[in-house]
Amino acid sequence: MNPLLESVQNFTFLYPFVMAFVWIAGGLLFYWRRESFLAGPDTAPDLPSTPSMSVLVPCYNEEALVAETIGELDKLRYPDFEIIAINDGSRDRTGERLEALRLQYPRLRVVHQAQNRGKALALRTGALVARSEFLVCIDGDAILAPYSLHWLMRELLLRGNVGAVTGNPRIRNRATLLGRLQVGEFSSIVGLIKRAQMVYGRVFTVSGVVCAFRKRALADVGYWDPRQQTEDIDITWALQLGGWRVRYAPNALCWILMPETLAGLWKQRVRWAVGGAQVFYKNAPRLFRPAGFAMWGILADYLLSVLWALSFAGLCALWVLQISTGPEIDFGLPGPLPTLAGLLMSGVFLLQSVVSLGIDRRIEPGVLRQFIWLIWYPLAYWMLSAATSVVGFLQVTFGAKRRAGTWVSPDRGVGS
Amino acid sequence: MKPTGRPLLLTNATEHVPAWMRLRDSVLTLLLWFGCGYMWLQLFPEIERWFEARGREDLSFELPAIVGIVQQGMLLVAGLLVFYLSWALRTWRQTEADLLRPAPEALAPGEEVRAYGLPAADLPALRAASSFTIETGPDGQIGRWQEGRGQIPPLARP
Repeated sequence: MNPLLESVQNFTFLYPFVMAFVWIAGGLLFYWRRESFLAGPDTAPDLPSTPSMSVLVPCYNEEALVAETIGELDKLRYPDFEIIAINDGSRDRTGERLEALRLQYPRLRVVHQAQNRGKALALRTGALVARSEFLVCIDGDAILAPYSLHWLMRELLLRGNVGAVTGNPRIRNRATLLGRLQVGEFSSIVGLIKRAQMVYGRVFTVSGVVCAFRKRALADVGYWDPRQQTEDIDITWALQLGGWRVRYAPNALCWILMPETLAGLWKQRVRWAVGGAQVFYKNAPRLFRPAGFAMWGILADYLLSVLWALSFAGLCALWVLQISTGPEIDFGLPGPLPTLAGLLMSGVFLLQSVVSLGIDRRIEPGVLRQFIWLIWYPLAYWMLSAATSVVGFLQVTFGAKRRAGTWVSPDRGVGS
Repeated sequence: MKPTGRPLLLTNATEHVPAWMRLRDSVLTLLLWFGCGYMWLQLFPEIERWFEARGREDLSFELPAIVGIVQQGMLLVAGLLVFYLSWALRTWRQTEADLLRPAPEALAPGEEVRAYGLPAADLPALRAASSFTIETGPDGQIGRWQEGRGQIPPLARP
């Protein structure tokens, strides 16, 4: 085989293989140092004070689900908070629903944006009208657990340089294979990587669906940038490059709905990939200043993951070309991965899943049952992940999608 | 659409997923486990033969290519973990020191409105209102606003 092809093939195996062990080690370290001694998420932590909080709920065409979100928010156990729903020029009856809910829940305030401006600007407007210094942002179809505000505030109060705290999104829809796979994904990939990143002090992104901010930190970095497709990745990088710290609160649970169709999942993941690439291009020059050095771990991880996606997609394409043509075109590829590597990789991934689901049992007893479905992940999901990363990165690299962030409402499961 | 009143966890039972879909998912998943398990089991004789060959110092036995790559991988894992753990130690020291940092002061109203192009005098009224309509430019600058929901009349400002 061509030595270059062989190196590329070895890299497609080595990157996930090596990183799986790093993530496992990091996840276990975070659990041991920061998490194992915490009480469960269904109890309140001891807080030195309970300053007021403003919960921002940007909504676009959320008439079906917003009542449930606001109703559950009103039941939160935090003593002092307001709810601000920002109706971002919705075309359905979200505005009317919110006005009716305002009469039902006195702590709800409603902002109607005259035009649809996207989530970043909706949040920015919400930050201005919020009466509190501490903001919590959740999506219009998400449900916060009763003590989530306590756990988010705990991180903000512990250290004066914390600009943002990311919560722990949990998947509600588990009726289909895709839904159950995402339960495993949010544990094995998202949760474990966040824990591992926290160990070296920087995170790639807060979860946009549940995060808290200190308003001073937001003002410091110029609030959310409306030109970005994924405002959560952008604000995370801006805050960390501006000298603020971002923390992870695994007990701050937020129950969310995820796409359960392949088309919905594809759209969502391409948007995430585009957002990551936009943030990379925007911040690349700042990473070479002294304040940016600490982000190099995150940068290396991101670039290697994109490189892996490009390599894997390239090898798959060559392999398909090889098997679909005659013997005249032969790259000597027995498969997109080295022989036996797929088996080893899936074995290592399953080990990673067992560790992360084991850690998550503290938060959600019984989550280990989802392990059985994760056998699909290496087979189907890695291909989807590679394909969306390639499409997203190339779209941004070649300038076809450098447009402002807009609302993209994914499907919310088979029931919606 | 199924709006509200659903349980927190949406499962087969709550969403009334058809039995054939449940059966299909379960059967396909089990088949995949058996398939993978069968292939994994096939690896063992290969690895056993390799260990035997090593024991005999039998150089004629061809080493599976993946073994060499895994050896490189484990070396990389070890190197990366040393780097990662030293960085983690440095971070822990910093985060412990961060516990002593005082909380920064809250933003003053003048500082807050600066990014929005709004007069500071408007802020108390804006924060007192429980419902209002606001006109925001594409750059985040606030043009006009009025209490309640509705169309903003031209040049209106409370």
